[in-house]
Amino acid sequence: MSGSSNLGMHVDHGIEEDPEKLAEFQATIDARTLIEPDDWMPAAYRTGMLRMAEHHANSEIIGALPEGEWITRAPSLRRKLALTAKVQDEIGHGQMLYRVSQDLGKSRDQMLRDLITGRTKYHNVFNYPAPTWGDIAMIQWLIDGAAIMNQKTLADGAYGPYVRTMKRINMEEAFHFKSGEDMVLTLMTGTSSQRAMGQEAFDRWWYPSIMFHGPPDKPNTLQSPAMRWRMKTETNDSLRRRFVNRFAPAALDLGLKIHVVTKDADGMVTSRKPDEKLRLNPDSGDWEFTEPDWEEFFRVIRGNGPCNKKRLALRRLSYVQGRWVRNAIVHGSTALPNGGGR
Amino acid sequence: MSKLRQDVELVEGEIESPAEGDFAPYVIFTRLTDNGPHIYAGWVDAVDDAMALQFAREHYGQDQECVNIWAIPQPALSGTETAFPTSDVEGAVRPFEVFAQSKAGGQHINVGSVEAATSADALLRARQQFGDSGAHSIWVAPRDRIVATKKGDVIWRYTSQDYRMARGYSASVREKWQKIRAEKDLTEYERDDIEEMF
Repeated sequence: MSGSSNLGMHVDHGIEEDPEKLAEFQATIDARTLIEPDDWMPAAYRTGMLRMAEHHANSEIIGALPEGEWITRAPSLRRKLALTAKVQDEIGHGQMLYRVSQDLGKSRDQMLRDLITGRTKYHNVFNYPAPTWGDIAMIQWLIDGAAIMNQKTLADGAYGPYVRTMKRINMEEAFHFKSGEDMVLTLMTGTSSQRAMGQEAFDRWWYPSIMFHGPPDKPNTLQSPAMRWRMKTETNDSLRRRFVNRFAPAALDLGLKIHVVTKDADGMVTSRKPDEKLRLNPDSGDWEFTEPDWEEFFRVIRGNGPCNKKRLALRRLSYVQGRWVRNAIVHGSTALPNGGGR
Repeated sequence: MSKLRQDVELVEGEIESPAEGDFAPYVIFTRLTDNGPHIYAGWVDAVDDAMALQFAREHYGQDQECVNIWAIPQPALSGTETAFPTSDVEGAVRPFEVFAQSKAGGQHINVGSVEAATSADALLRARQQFGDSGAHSIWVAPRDRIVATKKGDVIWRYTSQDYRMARGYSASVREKWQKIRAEKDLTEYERDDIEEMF
């Protein structure tokens, strides 16, 4: 479900590369020929792609945690089957992306350990709470919608293994998005309490989904190595504009009101008022809206969001709980866990 | 939510995380129809052949129906590009399966086999036999190292699994939108849907 666009791309310019090789590399990318794992690549490109794929993989497996908790409480058997399938898909995406990362030079074991010890990060959007079924619907509609939008542009990138993985992932994301749209439509064409649940969840998720594509572009974004090397193919602001143009009118047609909200430390809405800047600009054809609170965005990235600790704690618990299984299959260990499973 | 998960104890600070070692990579090919070739699907990581097949069945055979799966341990695969260092398979002359990729970024497809005693020799022969059509890259693997599913031993769909496909929701989504949006607007919205918009 994820994407990597809110990852800061720290490219190390300190390494001197052979200018001839560098020019050849750029020419290959400009000719839209894909780069394969053992082609020559600048050290900064290898590090950057590894960081991006690893961050993406981490996001897939952390992103499945809030959804997994709702499987037992899904409102119908069909929704339960669908959510189970979605969670299985997301973990599968994590597997594929860890494989891409491994070929760039870091072991999977190391990546899983870096995630639980907080040395590496995952997408910011998974640090928000999902207290109702309405949240599950909104996550699948808005966040998976934003993710497909982002991943379609990443599938047009330059690194072969990542591009192939994006294509396969997007195929599955289409199901996530469609079933999310179906859930949101069900809520918003339902009873008054269903519509209220939809609205409250929308209030919680609208701004995280606008922030999904990452912080505002810097003036020189188009010249950055990430864009020149086609690690990314569209800027954050451009993706965000397309996202709002698509989803704001759809939300309004569904009877949802678009609010500017304040939230407490647990991510629950404490006050809301209509977004007065929201309108379709007839000249540009784009929707205008109130900018997100970017300070909140950076606060959450630094680890102080509503669910940062909870998400990581669950991943750490799973890591510790699963250790005896991994030892059994990797090393043939027959040691059973203390207390029979915990 | 299970009580266990609701009351997760926070493990603060460093948690003991000694290196555990990695699984081994396998390349997976699936055959989508009875008479079709095996086509590159992706990778899995597993500790042995049985786990690789089981995993591939779930991972690549679930969403995309297939009739057979091949799993090839990475060390058994050699390629004309440098993605795989030429493997050290040696011994008596035996069949190698050949997989060709027609253009950069495409999927490797099983195009036939050659007889050879070493991987290097198999690659050379494969290039002579299958490279003329302009293959961008060629992989070879000795047939005796390929792990295959037994006939029929893949995921079969006894009941509809359209709940895990986008198409399983199209009709229902359209029907609900019809209550909200005018037909003209809806057609325009759908035109922009997943393919073009995303």
